[in-house]
Amino acid sequence: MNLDQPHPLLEVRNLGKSFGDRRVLSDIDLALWPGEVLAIVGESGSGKTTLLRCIDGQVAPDAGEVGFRSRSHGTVDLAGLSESQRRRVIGSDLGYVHQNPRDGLRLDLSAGANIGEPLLQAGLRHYGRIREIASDWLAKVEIDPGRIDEPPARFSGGMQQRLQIARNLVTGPRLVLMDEPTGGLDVSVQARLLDLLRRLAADLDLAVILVTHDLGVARLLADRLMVMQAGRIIESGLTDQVLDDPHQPYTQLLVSSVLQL
Amino acid sequence: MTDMATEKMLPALETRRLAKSFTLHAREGLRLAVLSDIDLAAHAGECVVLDGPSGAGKSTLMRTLYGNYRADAGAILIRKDDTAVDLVQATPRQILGLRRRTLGYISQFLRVIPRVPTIEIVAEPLLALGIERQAARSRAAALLERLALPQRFWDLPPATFSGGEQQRVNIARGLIAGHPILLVDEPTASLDPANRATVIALLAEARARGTAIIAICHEEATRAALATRFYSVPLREQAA
Repeated sequence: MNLDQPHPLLEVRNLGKSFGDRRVLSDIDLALWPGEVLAIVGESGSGKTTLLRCIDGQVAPDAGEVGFRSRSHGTVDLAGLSESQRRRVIGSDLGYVHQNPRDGLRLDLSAGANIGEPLLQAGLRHYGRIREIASDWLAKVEIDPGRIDEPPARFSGGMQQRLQIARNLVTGPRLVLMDEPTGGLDVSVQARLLDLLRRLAADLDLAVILVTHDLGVARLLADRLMVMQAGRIIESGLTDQVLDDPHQPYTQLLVSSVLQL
Repeated sequence: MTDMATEKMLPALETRRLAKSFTLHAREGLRLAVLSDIDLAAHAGECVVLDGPSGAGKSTLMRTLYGNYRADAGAILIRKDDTAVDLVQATPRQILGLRRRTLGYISQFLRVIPRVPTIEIVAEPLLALGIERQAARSRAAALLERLALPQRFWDLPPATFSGGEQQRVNIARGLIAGHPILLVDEPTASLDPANRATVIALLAEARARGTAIIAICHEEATRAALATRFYSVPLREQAA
């Protein structure tokens, strides 16, 4: 991460969201700089995923702004855009990795086509070149490129998750939102995925917002940590500060409930 | 000459009335005031060894100086080029910047990252400074060799290493970037005499280059070899 960047890539201000009369997000402020990894932790129902979806445009917030510095249009408020405006402004600057890889993959397409499809959408037309890039990306995420024509349904959960990551990163986004990316995986498979994410984020200078309930994952991957409870950010700071010197009662409970970090 | 004279006078690190307490919410908000009114300075080329019985707050002070624990009050002035940055008031990104270039920390235990080879763990702080991979790796190799870590271990992750081997990996990682300020917590605790002598020599060399060192060390011979000065952590007030 280059610490000399003067401007944040993403600046969320005063974001709020209700579902019916249930308030799920209140007064959310956060800034994220290029190349920075931010983890959001908190119990189920604390609003973590809704926050990611608001940033991604899947959910429209009731209040506040999602300021994003796009490559082509300067700083825009993503919260106010229609789907087509959004696509034009952010293009492939933003990726979203779902907890369940099946939600982020096209199961009717081959592994190679899953990586190639975003390239086609971005305007690349040369079939041979697309296949070459897809094959490179399979290798990068540690999947045998010989399996490029197989459907992802034949892959293990860990492989599917790595394929979903390749599909998201192939177009060179600057920000990737990840919702429990290691959630459904065995511990050994998790370690491999974490190492991969760490290297990719560093090599590609990728900004990442990572929603997780696993403090060990946050410790390994994140520069900064935010703790959410009941739709609010109750504590934030450098990851090691929040985990080693938690201030809020809920954060202390969270940290003391983990066997060893 | 005037410039050098001023430089000599400005400490590399200085605290002013630094205070740190912990509030334990699981114990009805019990407040432990561990540090208060800490005025400590370390100049370039000095090694200040912290004094005080177990539980006096030496480790808490070290972690607070690194920004790992968040101070309640006071200032931690870190000299950076010609200015001083107050770590207590700094943003997370400023703290990351200070840790990258200015303020190093060698903790007692290596926090192991799964699957990452030893040599990469040691080289990583140089990569973060933008130094080219090959140069970073050869600098890492030189340090590991100096610390007598067998070359056959370099490409392995240190998870299965002995305590002493892990500590030497940790020391190599902590020394590689040449931070002008080094915080060192029990650097020789699990080392044999030969390796202990190497670590003492490496820290003396860093000091000769102008590094300011603040250290915790219990072992008498190492304390004597490292320290240019001692600082007694003042007796804390009782839990309030």
